[in-house]
Amino acid sequence: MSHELTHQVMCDQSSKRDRLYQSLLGGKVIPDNTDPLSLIYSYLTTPRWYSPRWYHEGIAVFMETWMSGGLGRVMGGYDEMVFRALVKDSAYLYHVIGLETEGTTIDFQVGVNSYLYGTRFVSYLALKYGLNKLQDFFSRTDSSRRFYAAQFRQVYGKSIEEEWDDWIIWEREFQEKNLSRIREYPVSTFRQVTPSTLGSVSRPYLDSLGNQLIVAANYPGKMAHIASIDLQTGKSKKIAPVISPALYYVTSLAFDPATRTLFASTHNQDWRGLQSIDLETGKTKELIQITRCGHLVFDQAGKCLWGVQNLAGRTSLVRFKPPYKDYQVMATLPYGQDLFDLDISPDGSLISATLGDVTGRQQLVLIRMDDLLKSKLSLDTMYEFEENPASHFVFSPDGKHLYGTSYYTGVSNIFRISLETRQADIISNAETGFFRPLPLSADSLLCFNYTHEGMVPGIMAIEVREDVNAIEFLGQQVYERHPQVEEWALPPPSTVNLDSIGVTEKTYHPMRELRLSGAYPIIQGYKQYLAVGYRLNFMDPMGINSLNIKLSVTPYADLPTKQVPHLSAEYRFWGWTFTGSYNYADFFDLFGPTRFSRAGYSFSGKYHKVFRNFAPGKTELSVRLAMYGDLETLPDYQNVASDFRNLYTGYVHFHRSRLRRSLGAIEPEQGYNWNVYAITSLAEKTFYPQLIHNLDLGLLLPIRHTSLWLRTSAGQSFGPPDKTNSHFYFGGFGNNYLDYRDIRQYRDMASFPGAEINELQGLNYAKLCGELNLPPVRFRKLGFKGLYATHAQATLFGMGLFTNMANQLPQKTYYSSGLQINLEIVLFSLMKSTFSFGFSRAYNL
Amino acid sequence: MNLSELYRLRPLLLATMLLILGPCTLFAQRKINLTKFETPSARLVFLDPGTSYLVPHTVRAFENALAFHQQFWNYDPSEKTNILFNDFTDVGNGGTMVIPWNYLKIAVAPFDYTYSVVLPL
Repeated sequence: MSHELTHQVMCDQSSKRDRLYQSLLGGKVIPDNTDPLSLIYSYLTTPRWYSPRWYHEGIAVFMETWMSGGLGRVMGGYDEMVFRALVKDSAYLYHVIGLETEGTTIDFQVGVNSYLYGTRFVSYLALKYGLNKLQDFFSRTDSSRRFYAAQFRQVYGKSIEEEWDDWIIWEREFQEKNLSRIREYPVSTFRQVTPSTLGSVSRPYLDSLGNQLIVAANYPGKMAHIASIDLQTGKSKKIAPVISPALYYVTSLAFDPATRTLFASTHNQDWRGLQSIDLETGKTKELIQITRCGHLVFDQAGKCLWGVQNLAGRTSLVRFKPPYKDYQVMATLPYGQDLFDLDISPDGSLISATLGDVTGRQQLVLIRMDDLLKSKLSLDTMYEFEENPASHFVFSPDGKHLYGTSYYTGVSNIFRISLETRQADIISNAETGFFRPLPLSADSLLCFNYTHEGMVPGIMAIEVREDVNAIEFLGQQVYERHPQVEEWALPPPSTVNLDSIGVTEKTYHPMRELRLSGAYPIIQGYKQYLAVGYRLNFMDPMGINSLNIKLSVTPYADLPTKQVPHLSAEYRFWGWTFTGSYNYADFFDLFGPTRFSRAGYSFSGKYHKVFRNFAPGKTELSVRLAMYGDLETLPDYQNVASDFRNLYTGYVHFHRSRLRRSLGAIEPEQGYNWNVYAITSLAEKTFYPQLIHNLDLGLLLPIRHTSLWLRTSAGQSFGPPDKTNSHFYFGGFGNNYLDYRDIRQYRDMASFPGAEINELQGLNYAKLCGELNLPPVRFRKLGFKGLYATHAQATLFGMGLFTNMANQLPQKTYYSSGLQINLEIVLFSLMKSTFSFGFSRAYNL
Repeated sequence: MNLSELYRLRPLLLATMLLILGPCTLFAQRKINLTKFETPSARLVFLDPGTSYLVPHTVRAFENALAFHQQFWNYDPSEKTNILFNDFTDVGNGGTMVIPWNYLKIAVAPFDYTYSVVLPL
């Protein structure tokens, strides 16, 4: 709560001028790409929202840590390790712009780098300049500057780039000192198994039959997967994909060596399910769609699968009996206590787990299986790690020890705890950090070493260390130099008396809560003219329903009087959308050949249903009915005159897709995208039915972030051939010079680069497009803090269009090939837009 | 009824369609059973009665943190904070929006403690 509320405070603080704009523009304006002026209004009303992510996350983590009495990532061993590894590996530390453009996409931690760098830089500022200046930097007052970088210069008297560079120099020195401290005792030697890193990894298992390591891995440029890795040669073989991986644990994995079956959690970013995987064939089988379980472990003695279920804020221990199609909740912990990292002793008599609670305390606990089978939960504390994280504890093959890791010294080292004596021995001295130990024998174990690019598996000897050095934490230095952070610790929430605050409990009615959320001037395009007007936004506080109304006029004499005013309105509620328009006008008609403005009036109602599915899968159904009056051109084809003044249309649209992307990708790289439309229009007693079928198939190539796509579209019209309504029309790239829609409009069914808009037509058609998406080029520094380029990407495509097949009209075949280069630009840290350059040539027109 | 009769009745059909669709949205609203727990500074909305036991604790935690921020940053909230309290995922997380309304989204599940990237609080 402290973290999220800090974000609110940082952005909701306002100066007199912000409040003036808020009162003039009806509130804090939502940026809406369909009306780009709203982006400027949004910045004027809420300027600090438009700061980079590291800025927001850095101060939120800093405040959260001290408001929790020093428990948080400012004092976290993981953050120290990340920067220690960067320094040890002589890796690049990103500068202030490069962090946003490349740093949050290039390695396995992707967006988490904003938290890591932000926390580090903010802590460094606090250490060097003190808390008052930090407070001034993040405050929005009447005398403060609107843009975060200008405010930085005002407070610290230098540019943020200069200070960031100073921090990098300081950080390298700080981490070198920590590395020297660690190296005062012999560091652990480690035989690396694979030549490169695996990024994030799941719990590993040993398949002793083939001396193979089985683990799920996720790293940039490759889809997440479960692999078997030969411990001698390091050769990796993919067993099965992980369709929806978690960022750090990838998937929760368990192994039954007797049947050579893997169990893995599915849809790891949602409500998890359970699947089994045949180790020999890689064949996967869904066992339970929703279990909400992780930390899976297989009990070889009892032939049961165990896991931890998260439900309604509580954790429970659950058991899956063969055939693993159902589960049983065995025990539930009280709110505030979490169990994780389960393991089961070889004889099946004990379950080990880490128990964490809201005070930050972590203990290694044992649970007797006999008790648990009687639904009795008795936690026997094996070892108390106090406020130091402890994780990944597993039983040794003889069941006499537990091996796991803890940041007890500030570095994640491997600990061995005897079940008999309960004595803990430290058996590694890591420079960066060791994780997920897997004892192989009495004198060796497999574990993962953290590098700046991710986890590397390796084998090391089990040797008890007499001593290892602790490292220094930046957070500790902040505390020692500025001990007042101790006063920031919040009292327990229980001290807040709700009765004295005054609370009410009622039903929330979204429609009754609808209120004005923005009102501002707009400009629009109508045909070739400029329209000026006003827009009103209404929304309820939860964003469940909204109403947008746009009114504008085109004060030019050469338009019919009835086309001077323009009105459009859209109401959304959950899956329902209702629109109405009169002489519809559109901002983007001012910038290019594609026009959306239409004379006449229209009403429509649409229902959109998203079926229960799990990322990256998507299944949707839309039904839309519309009527148009006083038409000049067809609603979907700007250059085709309508044969009718009034028109009724309806469609049913079914969409299903499973589009996957590897870490750091800018768009989907693999999968399928399937759309079916059944459309009809009705005019003057005649129906004009059409069917359209689109299927896209993509494949990630071995070159990082390079994908190959085959995009197909086919349509059949059943209307009379002499009416314009019956035909499909094609032509143009589909983009305007300035556009809010997908930048790759050439993928649209109606586009055909090289031909004029709507130039080609047919009663039926088939369209085939091959597309090669080349890897993006990311820019570490191209631009300024307020305006910079993130990446450029080129796409090559070639397409063929075949029209009027097997009907009485002349059959035509057209070809087109082209290139599109997109350059993404970011304004004020958040407002993304793309400059797009395209070249194409059509043949056989 | 033949097609031309149907066509003649199109204004009536359109009006009927709107009359049906309008109540559909009202019905949909009734189907969504949202409860709001309101204090002078927060409006907490939740869907699942199974998580209602956490509502008083969450509101206390919010009021506790807000009191600190108000004093520390001299912060005067522009409006009530809207909190959507949910159990949509298996891993605890949060999200914040301040445009157009102050809005916090809190997922009640425990955090993912892998590698201790996030520390238990």
